[in-house]
Amino acid sequence: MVGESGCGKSTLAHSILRLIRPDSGSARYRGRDILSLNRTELLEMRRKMQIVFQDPYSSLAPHMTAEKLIGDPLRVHGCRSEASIREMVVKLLCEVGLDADCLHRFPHEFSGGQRQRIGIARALILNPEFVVCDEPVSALDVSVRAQVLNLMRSLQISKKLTYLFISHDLSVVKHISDRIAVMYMGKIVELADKWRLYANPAHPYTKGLLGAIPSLQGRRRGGISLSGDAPDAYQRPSGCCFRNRCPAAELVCKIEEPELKDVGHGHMAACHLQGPRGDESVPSAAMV
Amino acid sequence: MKIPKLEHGRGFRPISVFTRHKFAVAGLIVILSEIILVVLLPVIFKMDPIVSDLSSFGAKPGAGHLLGTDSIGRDLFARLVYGGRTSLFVGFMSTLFAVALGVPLGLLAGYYRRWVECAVMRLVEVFMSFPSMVLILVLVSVIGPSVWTVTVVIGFLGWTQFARLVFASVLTIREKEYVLSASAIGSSDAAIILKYIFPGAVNPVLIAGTFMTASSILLESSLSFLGMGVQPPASSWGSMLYDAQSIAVLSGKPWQWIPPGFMLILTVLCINFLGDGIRNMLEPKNKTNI
Repeated sequence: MVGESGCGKSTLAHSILRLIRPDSGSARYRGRDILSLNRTELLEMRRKMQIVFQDPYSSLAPHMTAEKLIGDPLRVHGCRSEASIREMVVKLLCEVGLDADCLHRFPHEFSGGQRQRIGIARALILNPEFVVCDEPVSALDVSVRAQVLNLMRSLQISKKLTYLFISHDLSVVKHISDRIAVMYMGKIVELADKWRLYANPAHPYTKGLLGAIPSLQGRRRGGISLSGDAPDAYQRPSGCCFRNRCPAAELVCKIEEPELKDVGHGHMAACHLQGPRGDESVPSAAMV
Repeated sequence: MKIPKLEHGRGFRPISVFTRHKFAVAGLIVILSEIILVVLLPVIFKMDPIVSDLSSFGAKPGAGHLLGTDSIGRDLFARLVYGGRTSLFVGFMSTLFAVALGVPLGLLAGYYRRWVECAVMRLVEVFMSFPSMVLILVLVSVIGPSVWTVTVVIGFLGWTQFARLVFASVLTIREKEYVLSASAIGSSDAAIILKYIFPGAVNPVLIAGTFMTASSILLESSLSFLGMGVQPPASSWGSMLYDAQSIAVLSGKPWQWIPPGFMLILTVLCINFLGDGIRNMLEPKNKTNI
């Protein structure tokens, strides 16, 4: 899931896990509506769905040791034996690349990368199936970013996890994702397999994002450059929310809000100028 | 000048910050020895603060009576020690009572917001809008003066500051991501409040608690001085001052009022220094150097 700051990525992540209550709509996981679960069902759901937070500096309680932080999920889910909790914590610490010396250290004694590893361990100790990663590396140094990403990748394979990986960094997303959803002002405007999206972006916003990746070979094929800023979320433009920055906006974009629809091979895009109605692609160099 | 280490790295030692504040260390020592003395002295030495020595009324300090006797022949040293018991007991217990009442209410108000916040904080404002001394006098005279009444009433009127402090801390803590992470792992509200939020709100309570202990001791003395506190024949430092009110005693028998007055000032001062030291230790940013 990519999108610019403030477009609602974290809100989406928190809504999926029912950490906040959305005003409307529903969140379904394996066909079950998460918003209507009762207490015990919710606890069961939390065992399967976990989250890694964005900021490793504020997402770990400063007064708890690494052992408490990582072991707390087990305690909440009814594990009473301190010995087995410690055993699990040590095992997980090793899996995320820390050693058992860290057990009694407090968050402030760790670096950002190490803290995020603790955050990952805390999310994984319940053996979830699905992990929401809310910009897990954006607060980290570039040098440790790759380490943490590679760790997450290898954990994904070894523990057969599904990630919902949220980021505003396209290079990070390209590295870790299989399918990519592009979000703009709280709406998903394009959803496709990674290679399809990078090779042939359908929505003009995606083209703008790809065009903005710095590269040594000059401008990317199919990329365009965007002007202006995202409008205020309280004053959404009528029709398509992207129309006042779109180089190819037509009259229909002003009147009607585009639906997310298939433009071929499971590639979804929310643009009037795509798919059956306007099959010609958006003129990519219009604004350059 | 040595640059103090402020970040909570491995080198950060709160204790050394505390010991650098000499007055705080002195305060701690004085308070601890006072507590030990008022508890142990009556156990070790036979002393009776109530029985009159019929052979000496208003005697000067001397061999038989270390600090002399009062106008009806009671040993002033014994009364000072037993009075210390009362004063310290009221100081600490009323603070404990106020903390026990204010902290949970502040936690609930800050965590649940909405109507809980509304109810608790309006109640706080109602309590704070009363002149507390007048209210205490009324309550004590309705319930009847005794050590316990004074303790409970002082505590009952002091909870508001703790509720407000904790409420303010919780408001900032609940926005932190680690509180969200606690609910992401499925913690119950009670667990979130106790395990994740409360530890972050303890420090200001500890500091304010120390200061309240000092002011409770003073308040108890004022009440006793007004005759609304500890009732004779029991003693407190305030009631000893009450007994020494007449001009004749004030000018002619200073041993009757100087010791309790001195102990009162010393204790309150020391507790305040102690509070300063604790504040420096826990909140290095708000440092006030003496």
